[in-house]
Amino acid sequence: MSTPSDDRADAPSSDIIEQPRLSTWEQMKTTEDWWAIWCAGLILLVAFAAVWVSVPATFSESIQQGESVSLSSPLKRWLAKPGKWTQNPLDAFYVAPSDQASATTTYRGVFGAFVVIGVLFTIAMKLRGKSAIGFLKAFPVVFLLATIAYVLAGQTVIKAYNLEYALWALLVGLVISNTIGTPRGLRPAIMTEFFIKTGLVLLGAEVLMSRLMALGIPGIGVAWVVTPIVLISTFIFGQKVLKIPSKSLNMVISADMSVCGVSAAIATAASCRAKKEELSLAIGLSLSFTVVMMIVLPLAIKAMGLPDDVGGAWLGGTIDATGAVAVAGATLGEEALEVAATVKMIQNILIGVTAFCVATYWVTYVEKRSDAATPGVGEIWYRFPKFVLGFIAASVLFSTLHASMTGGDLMIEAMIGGSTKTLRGWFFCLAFVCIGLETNFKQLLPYFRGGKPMILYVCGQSLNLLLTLIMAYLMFGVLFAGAGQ
Amino acid sequence: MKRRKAAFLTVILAVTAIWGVLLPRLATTETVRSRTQWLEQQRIDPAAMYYTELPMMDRILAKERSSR
Repeated sequence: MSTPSDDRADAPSSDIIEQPRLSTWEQMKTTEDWWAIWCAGLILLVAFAAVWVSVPATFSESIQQGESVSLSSPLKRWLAKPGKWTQNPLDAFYVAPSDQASATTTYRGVFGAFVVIGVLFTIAMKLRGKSAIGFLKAFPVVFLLATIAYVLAGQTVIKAYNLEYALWALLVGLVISNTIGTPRGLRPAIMTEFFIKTGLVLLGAEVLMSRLMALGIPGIGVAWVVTPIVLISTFIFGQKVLKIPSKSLNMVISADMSVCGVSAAIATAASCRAKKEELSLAIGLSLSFTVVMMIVLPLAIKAMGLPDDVGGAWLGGTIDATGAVAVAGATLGEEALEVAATVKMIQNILIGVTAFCVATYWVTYVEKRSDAATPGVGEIWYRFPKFVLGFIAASVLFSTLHASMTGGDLMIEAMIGGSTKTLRGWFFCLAFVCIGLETNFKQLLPYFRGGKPMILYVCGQSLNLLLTLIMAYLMFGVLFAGAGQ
Repeated sequence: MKRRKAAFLTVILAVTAIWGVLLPRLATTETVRSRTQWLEQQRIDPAAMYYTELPMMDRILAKERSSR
């Protein structure tokens, strides 16, 4: 996302002040993008090694003989987020054993995540020549705010209605910045972009290409053909018809509406250096419409009498949030749930391609000065957000391990489920707290003027609903009938 | 500054009232309880941001693995 120094796309050429250029080697040692890759790379290395060393000696033989094997990361008990609670918020950290269930302990894992992120980022700040002591002093408070956001999101009623932690993390930060003001002492730990980029590189390991063919051609048709068409059409509509002044806002809304909600918004915002307010607005829009679509779409599918697999594919391709897709699919039945969740999973994988294409388009065309020729390869490389390369590299590496190693799928799933997924969640939660702490409500107001973002979302989602319905019917109802079973 | 502190305290009180009293009471209503139980049975986390956060995906992926 943008910082005051990289508003190049919006600034008139006369205002652009050339910064001294850093060599790639210098960038690797100092810039946030590269350090996000180093930090996430180290986490992925340790997480994979932890699973690797815990694999039983007979693992390969058992897999080859077709025996059922389960793997778990030894780091799992040391890394956690606050859990679900209904009556008492402390249940988010510890629930005593009962007749029906064993004890649930997350406080140890929450503290583990605090130590891992705190130590890693303090060292990174020190090596980057930033204030490590300042970060170390402020980080516990920012982490505490993120923990509060997780606890607010973990309440049963809130959780049941798809109100994700990102929303509460934003609100926690906004409440402080817009009432008592963000204390100056917290500033060294407000590392929005560093947290987001590190989280995104970790997310890369979850973008497993082998999942692409889970539903064969029909799944690809719904998730990978319609989605880019809707994304590009919505972006062009926003620019040519609605004339939205901010291209990055236009792109973030288009991506979160067409790809997969909050996670796509985060990846795209970082790729096109959108302002933090633009990301907040896009997420707010997405979550508001998701709650409505989660309830209304299954009713519409029943009223239209669509087959379960067609309905499931329609849900998976249109509802932004993954959790909401599953809820809506489950109200229709088991087949609809499976098709909906699988289509969404295939669409989730599109995040990597979207982030790469948006970053390339931005540095090549959007950030180019109007009086300049298309930049050459060297210029594109210099401007390219390098963390996207880390994201893609993590995806390619872990997709390869997942597909080619004996039992690779089990090992990668144990690694993700036992450690990297949890840390990625913490990084995003910390980033949203930081966005809230840096945002004044007054900065958000201009974006609501004329209601253009809302119109963009509604028009784009309408096109998405129409095209996805046609494609879902064509694929699951006509060309590959019964593919969802 | 006094107004800002008052606004902050008001928000804290509102959050405490909503999360400490209102939502726990709502959670005991039959509608919410049955919805929560249904979600648990289906192993669905409605707040999942990515497919790896959905517990029910294990079932789908295991099915896909066995069909290979």
